[in-house]
Amino acid sequence: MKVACLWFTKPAPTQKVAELCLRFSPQICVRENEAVFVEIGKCKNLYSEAGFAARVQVILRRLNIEATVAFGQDITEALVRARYRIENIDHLPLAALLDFTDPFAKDPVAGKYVQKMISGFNELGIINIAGFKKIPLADLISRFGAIAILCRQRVTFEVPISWTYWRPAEVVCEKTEFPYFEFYGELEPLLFELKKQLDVIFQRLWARSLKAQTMQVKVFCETNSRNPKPHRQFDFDFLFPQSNTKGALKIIKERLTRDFEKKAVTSPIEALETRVSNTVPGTIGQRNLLHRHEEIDEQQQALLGQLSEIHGKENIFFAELIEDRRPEKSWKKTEKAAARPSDFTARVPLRPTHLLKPEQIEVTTGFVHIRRQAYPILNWSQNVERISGGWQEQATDLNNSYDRNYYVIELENGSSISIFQAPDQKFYLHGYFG
Amino acid sequence: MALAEKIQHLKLIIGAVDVTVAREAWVAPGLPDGVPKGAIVELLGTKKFEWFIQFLKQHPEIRTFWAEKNQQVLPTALQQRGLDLKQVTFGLLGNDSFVSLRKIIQSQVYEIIIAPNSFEELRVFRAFQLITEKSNNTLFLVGQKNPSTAWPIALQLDISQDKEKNFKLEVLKQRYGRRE
Repeated sequence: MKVACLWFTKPAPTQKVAELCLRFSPQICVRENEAVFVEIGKCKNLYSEAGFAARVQVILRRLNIEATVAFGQDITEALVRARYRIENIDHLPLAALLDFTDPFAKDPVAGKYVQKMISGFNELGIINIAGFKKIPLADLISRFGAIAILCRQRVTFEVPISWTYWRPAEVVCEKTEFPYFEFYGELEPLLFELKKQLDVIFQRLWARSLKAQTMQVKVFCETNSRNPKPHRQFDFDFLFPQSNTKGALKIIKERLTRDFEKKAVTSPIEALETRVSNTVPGTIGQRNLLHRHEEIDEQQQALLGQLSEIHGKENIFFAELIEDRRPEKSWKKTEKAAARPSDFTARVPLRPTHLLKPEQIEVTTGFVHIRRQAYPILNWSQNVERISGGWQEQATDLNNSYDRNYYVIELENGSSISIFQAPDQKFYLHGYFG
Repeated sequence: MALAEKIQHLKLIIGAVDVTVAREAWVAPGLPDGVPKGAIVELLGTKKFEWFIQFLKQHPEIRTFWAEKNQQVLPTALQQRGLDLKQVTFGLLGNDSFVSLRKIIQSQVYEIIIAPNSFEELRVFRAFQLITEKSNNTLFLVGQKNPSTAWPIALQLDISQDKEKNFKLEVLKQRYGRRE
């Protein structure tokens, strides 16, 4: 086995580099943002080490990335040579043990133990791998246990390292070009073409049992003095993953209609590209013959996606309860219906059906004055609900501390209101029953 | 008995109610004829929401879309009154809610839709009437003080409470009978 390692001194797009290295070998793995490993031993005489290094440097230059290229019989050997630029393993600093034990930097726990071991050896004056190799194995085990055995086995290349699974990210993309300038900014024919693309895209996704989470639609226009921008880009992050053309097209149509109304396309449209940039696992299988629950759920998700496109994601929601006595903090917005509803509501007094932003009111004998209008009081609740707290919250949230006495008042007009008295003795209207 | 109810009762006695316009109805608290499906219902009175929550509680299987202009309804209060929050989707549709409501009704995903009655034009009510009939879902419009004069509204209810805390329903207008 012969492994080439590309070590990046600064964080780099390793996925992109790895994809470009597929021209050399299909056996590739990646240390996220730091290194790319390529198995080049099986290429026989297709290229030499020097030839490989030269070709890689050309690729890196095009990407404007700097990297050190080194070769070894093993992943760890290639890695430490590229990282420390030292040919003889024995001369490596002891810190290289971290790379030997965890070459893909995926095990922080092991890293912590190895670091502790390195600090111990440094204090004893052992500073390089040669010194580490001289320590009797029995002494290592008694002091540092299994992690020391692993380090020793790795530096002597006794244990082969498994290649982690890597494959290039799959991009689902459809592009249609219009060389004869059929479209001059009309939306309808564009949507017709978009539907064709979405049909193909969702068929491809369905075959892989996937749903589209984020999507990008690009409309390429002919550039001229009035339209200097070459394309318009629309990014969609769906509220619910989309699995069919009908739902996705409605959402895309909403955005495109608004954009085209706001900014008309004045030059001919040259091409249309739709790209799925992120997917989530979907369900695959035969339609349930006994009920239509899945279909209705999909319809609901498509509708909510469309509504959230019009009104914003924060304005279309389900509610989930939170155990907090403050009425305004007792629930939160969620994108999906809560699976296990909280049942703390049985332990708190009946809450008003509608909650208002606290508004100062005046209470006099027999009357409540709301916005300078007097409402005769019919009945004043006997029970007082005292809510206080907030002391445990962060210092920045001290304004949220609270100390309230809640009352329910029945008015003569038949309505009931919920008011509270703050420590400053002022009354605030907080909600109504209705 | 309110005037509208008396007239309806008399019509039934003399056989003047056209059974062809009678339609399926949801069972509703304190309303023997129920709430018609595929129609617009206007709710008025001081206890309209309390009654509506009890109505939803009787139908745990249906999906409801609760549209508002700004967030005011308190979900905690809905659950306290026995409503399962899983069946309710909330939407803050702002001032111009017609287009969105039309989409929601036409989708046939929600059997019950409740929204504030901020509409004045008759053609809007007519559009709602046509699409609710076609989709067979019920649109509840929450009125403020005075009942709307729009003729497409099938049922207008003024809901309050008596001294024993029971719902007192006054039917201000009723267009359809009930098909069993």
